[in-house]
Amino acid sequence: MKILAVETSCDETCAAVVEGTTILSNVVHSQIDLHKEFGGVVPSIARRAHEERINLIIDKAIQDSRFMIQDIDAVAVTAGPGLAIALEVGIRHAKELAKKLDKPLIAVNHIEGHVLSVLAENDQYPISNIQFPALALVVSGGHTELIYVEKIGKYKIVARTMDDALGEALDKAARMLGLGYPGGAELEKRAALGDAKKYSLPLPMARSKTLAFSYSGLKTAMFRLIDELRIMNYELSEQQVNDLAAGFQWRAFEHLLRITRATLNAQPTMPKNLLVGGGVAANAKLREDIKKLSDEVGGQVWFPKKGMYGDNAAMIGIAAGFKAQRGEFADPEMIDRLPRWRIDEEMI
Amino acid sequence: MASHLFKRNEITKLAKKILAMQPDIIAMEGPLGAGKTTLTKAIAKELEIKDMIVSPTFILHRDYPGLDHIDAWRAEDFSEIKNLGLAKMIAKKHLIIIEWADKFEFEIRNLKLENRVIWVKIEYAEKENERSISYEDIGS
Repeated sequence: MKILAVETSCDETCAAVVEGTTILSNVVHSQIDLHKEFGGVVPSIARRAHEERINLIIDKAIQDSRFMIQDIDAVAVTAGPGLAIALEVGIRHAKELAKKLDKPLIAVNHIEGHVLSVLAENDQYPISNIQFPALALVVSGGHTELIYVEKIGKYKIVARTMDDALGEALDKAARMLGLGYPGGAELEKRAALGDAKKYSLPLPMARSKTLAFSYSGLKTAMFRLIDELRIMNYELSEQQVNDLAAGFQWRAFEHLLRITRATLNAQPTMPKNLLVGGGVAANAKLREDIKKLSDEVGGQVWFPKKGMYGDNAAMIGIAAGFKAQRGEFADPEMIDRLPRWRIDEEMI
Repeated sequence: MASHLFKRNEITKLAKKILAMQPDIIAMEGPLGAGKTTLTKAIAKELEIKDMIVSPTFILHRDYPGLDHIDAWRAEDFSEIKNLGLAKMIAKKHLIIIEWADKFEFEIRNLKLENRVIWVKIEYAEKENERSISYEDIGS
């Protein structure tokens, strides 16, 4: 079954054609340049950019797949979670296309896409090695979640953020340091040049046993530290920026790993295998740390192939393929955006 | 507008004081990490909202039973805040909390004509666990 998938939940306009777990095309148009000067995604700009590009992106995805639009068997689209006015664009186009082609429509949860992104056929590992149940870790600009995956299609959130998402915290820290947008990637570059232990930043929720993430305290400590350094020498030196970036990233990741470790060890029945997804996992240091943790608990870990960390439609297509197998189709008359749709909730 | 020092453990007291002013809209301003979302959590707790209040930055707006939580940081124009369904939220008699309200100070202050708007300004204080906070009913 060839599925055309569309994803517009945030600031990337994406379309892909997949057949099962084989990706036939995967087109991502990033709007980073448009949002750069605002230091973050501006929803109304995102919407306009999606509107302007989406038809071109869909056409390109079809063209790259070397099939014709008539060969498509179903249309899939991200229904949530995400920015309401951005989601609407993808949903409307997918709905119209499904009607025009007279093909079924599949509504996909964006987080399920990230969870299943490791299932894309690749030349690093055979996907048949991936075993369920597993624990999925999704880290992005809008989400930080540990999800128990009993099997494909059956999920339970076991830990999530109580305030900011990891990617959001990294972006905000980068902003405090006057680094460009997207902040996380800039912060990673500067962190690689710095001494993480030069300044003292707190480990979030260090004494808490709660399985949850929190970045607000670390953000506050960072603001104060920068403020103190500025009082001493007005502007931060390049080396200070590097050390602060390294310190913040270290503590932010350490917290993520501590909670992930605690979750893996919470119950003897908890699977030790990890599936990782989301834009922040593109950070090489984080992947290295996660790999170490996985070795420590004696499990296996899978990362998505290149190009599938950040938002993309191929992962939506893969998730849609499994939904189609289970007969879970959406009613084109009823489908609506679900900005807060949890992966462990039925579509309402 | 007078500011007062509040310690971290006095946040419930502050939430109660603000709610005692019977706000329709709470407009918050303060730098990154100052505690806008933390104060929102305390207010939600007083309203007996059981849901976890998380940062609305990424999706701009989150609604809870009796509360709408808006983040204006990423909006470029006030019409975007309106487009989130502000009129509907007001009609629903939900408490509306707007973070980064200073971005649209003029427009939000204008809402006082038909709503009770409490303006909360949070600033870092000398001590780590303290904030200098002012709050006032801008209509009175």
